[in-house]
Amino acid sequence: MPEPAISAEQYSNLVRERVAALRRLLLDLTRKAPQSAPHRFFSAVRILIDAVERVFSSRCKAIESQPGSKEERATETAFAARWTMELLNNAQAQFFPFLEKLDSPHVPLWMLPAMQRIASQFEPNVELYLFPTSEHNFGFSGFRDLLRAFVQKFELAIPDDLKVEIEERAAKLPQWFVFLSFPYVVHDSALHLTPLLHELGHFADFRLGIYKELLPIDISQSDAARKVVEEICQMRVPMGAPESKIEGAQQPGVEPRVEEILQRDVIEQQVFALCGQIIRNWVHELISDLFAVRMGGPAYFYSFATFAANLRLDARAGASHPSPSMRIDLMLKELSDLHYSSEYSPLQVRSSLESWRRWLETQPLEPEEPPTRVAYWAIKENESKLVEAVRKHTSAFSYGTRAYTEKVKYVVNDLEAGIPPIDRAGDGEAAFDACDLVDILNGAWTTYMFSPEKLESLIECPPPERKLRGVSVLNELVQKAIEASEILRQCHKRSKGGV
Amino acid sequence: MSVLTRAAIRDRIFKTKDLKIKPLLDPESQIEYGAINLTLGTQFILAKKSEYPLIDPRLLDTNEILKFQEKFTLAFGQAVALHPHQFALGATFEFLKLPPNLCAFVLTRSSFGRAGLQIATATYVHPSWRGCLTLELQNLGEVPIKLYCGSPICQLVLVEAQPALEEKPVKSIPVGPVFTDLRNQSYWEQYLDKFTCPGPPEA
Repeated sequence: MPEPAISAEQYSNLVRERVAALRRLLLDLTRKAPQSAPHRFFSAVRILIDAVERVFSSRCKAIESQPGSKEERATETAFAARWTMELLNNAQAQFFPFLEKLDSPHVPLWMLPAMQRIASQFEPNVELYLFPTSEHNFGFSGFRDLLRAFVQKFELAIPDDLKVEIEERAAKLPQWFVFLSFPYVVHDSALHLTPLLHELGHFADFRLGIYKELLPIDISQSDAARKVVEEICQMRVPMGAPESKIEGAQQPGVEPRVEEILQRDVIEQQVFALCGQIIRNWVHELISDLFAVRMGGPAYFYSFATFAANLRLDARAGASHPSPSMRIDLMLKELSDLHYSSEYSPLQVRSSLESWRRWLETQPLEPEEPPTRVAYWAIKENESKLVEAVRKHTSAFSYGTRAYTEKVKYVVNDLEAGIPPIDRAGDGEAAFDACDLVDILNGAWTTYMFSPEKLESLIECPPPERKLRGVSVLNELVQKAIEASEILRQCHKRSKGGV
Repeated sequence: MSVLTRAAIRDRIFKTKDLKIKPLLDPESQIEYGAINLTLGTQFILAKKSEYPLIDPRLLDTNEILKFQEKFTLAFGQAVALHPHQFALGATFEFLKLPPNLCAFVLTRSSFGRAGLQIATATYVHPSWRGCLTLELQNLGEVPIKLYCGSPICQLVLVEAQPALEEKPVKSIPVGPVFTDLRNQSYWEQYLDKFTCPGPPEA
C-alpha cells in the first residue's frame, strides 16, 4: 500500500486543531454577543462541536483496539478524520453565519417580542431571532431539534453515554431555533419590516406542514409540461464549431436536435425534476404570502407591493420565487375573500386595491420561460387547494374588514396626532388595552398611504424635507408602539395570572 | 400654579384624557400622591471617550456629534451597569404628551438617588411637550449600579401652567435618548460675538 500524503496522525491533528479553532471562534463570538443574542443557540452549537470531537475520539479508540494491520488502521483513522472534518466544515457553514451578525446594533429588538409571540402561536417551544443582511431579500431559516437531529443522523457512530448526555442537554434547548433575516437598509423602518410576516408564514408552513397538503404536484400529465418537453426536444444543440462554422450555422438544420442526442424519457425526467423543484419553491412562497396577507391584512399587501416596487414590480418569475404580479394577483383575491373589496371595507382601501387590479390587467401573468410556465400552470390548477389549505390554518386570526374598521382608526388617530399607538381605552375606567402588532402595522400603512399630512403638519421643517421627516417620525412612533404595546400586553397577561 | 395630586393625575389620564403617558404598565403603583413614576427605556447613548476631544458648543457640528456616540438598545428587562462617575443618556420607557396647560419636572426617585444615581439635570418639561424624556444618567456614587430597563427610576411632578400655551409644530418627537443639540440653538452665539475678544491683528 502506498504511503498516504497525509498520515493518519496528521489527519487526527488536523481535526483537533479545527475543533480548537471553532471553539475559540465560538467563544469570541459569545463574548461579543449582546445580552439579547441567542445564547441557547450558541450552547447548542458548542454541544454539537463537543459531540463531534467525542465521536471522533471514540472512533479512533475503537480503530486502535480492532484487529488488522497498522496500515489498515491508519486508513480507517484517516477516513474517520476526513468524515469528521466534513462535519465540522458543515457546522461552520450552517450555523456560524447566524452568529456573526447578532451583535449588530441594527437588530430591531423592539420588534422581537411581538414576532416571538406570533411564532409561539404555532410552536410554543421556539426561539426566534432577527438579523440584518446586505441582501435585498428577507429570509427564513429554521432548525428543528438541532441536537436530536444530529444524533438521529449519526446514530450508529455515537457512543451510548454521549447519546444520553446529548438528550439531557437537548431537553433544555428550544425545539425550534428560527432566524429571520432582513435587509440592513430597512432596519429602522417599521413599515418596511412588515414583510417579516411572510417569513413567519414560512415558519408556520414548515411547522404545521401546510405544504404537505399540496406537494408533490404531479405534472406528468400536464399539457404545459408536455409542451416544454416537446420544445426542448426540438431545440438545436450548438456543437462547438469554429466561429466560421457558427456563422454558417445560421442556416437551419446544421446542428442536431436535442431528441437526436438524448432519449425522450431522459429529457422528461430532467424537465420534470427541474419543474418540480420550481413548483416546490413557489408553493412555499405562495403559502407564506397567503399566510401573511390573512394574518396581516392590507398592511402586508402594501408592504409587499412597496418591497417589489423597490426592486422591480414587473420582474419575471424565477426558480425561487413567482413573479410579483402572480403574487399580487393571489393576494388581491385573498383580500377580496376577507371582504376588503366589498362595501364593508373603507373606501380608500377599496380604491387602492382596485387600482392594483387595474395594474394587474396590464401585466402578463403567464411566464415566458418554459419551466416557470409549467410551475405557473401547475399552481393555477391547484390554486383552490392551496388557498383552502392556508385558510384552514389561519381562520382563527384572519385580519378581516371587521377588525380593520374597528381597530385601525384608533391607531391612525394616534399617529396623526404624533402619539405612538401603544394602547386604547379598554372596558374599565382606568383600563387601557394594548394594541396588537397587526393593528399597529395596518394603522401605520394606512397613515403612510392615505393621510400623512396631519402628522407632517406637526413637524417644524422646511417643505422639501418635511415629507421625508414625516415618514421618519412615523416609523419612530410605530417602533415605539410595537415595543411598548407588547410589553404592556405581557404585563397584563402576567397580572391576570398568565405566564 | 399648583402641583397635580393623585386624583387630578388620574382624571387627566383616564377621564379627560388630555394627559398622555403611554404605556402605564402598572397605573396603581406608578401614580403616587403627587407624582407619577416613570421607568427606564431600552435605548442608551454612551460617549466614546477615546474619540472625545471636547464639546465646544460653537464648533460642534451635528453630524460630528454622532462620531462621539455609541448608541445601543437592550431588551426590556435587561440591564446596563453604570460605573462610578460614568455618564450615559437614557430615556423614559413612557411616551408623554402634556396638554398645553400642564408643565412638569422630572426628578430622581429617592431610592435610586440614595444609591448615587442622578437621572436628570435639565428637569423642566414644557407644556404641550411630547416624546420620551431623555434622562442624563450619572452615577455619583462609589460603586457600580445596575440599571434595569423597566425599573421605575424617576418621577414626574405635574404642574398647572396658566394661561395655556398654543400648540406649535415641533422639531422632533423623540422616542429615545437625544444627544445635545447645542449647535442648533445658536441664537445666543450672535449675542456672544459682541463680547468676544478680538484676536491679534493680522500682519
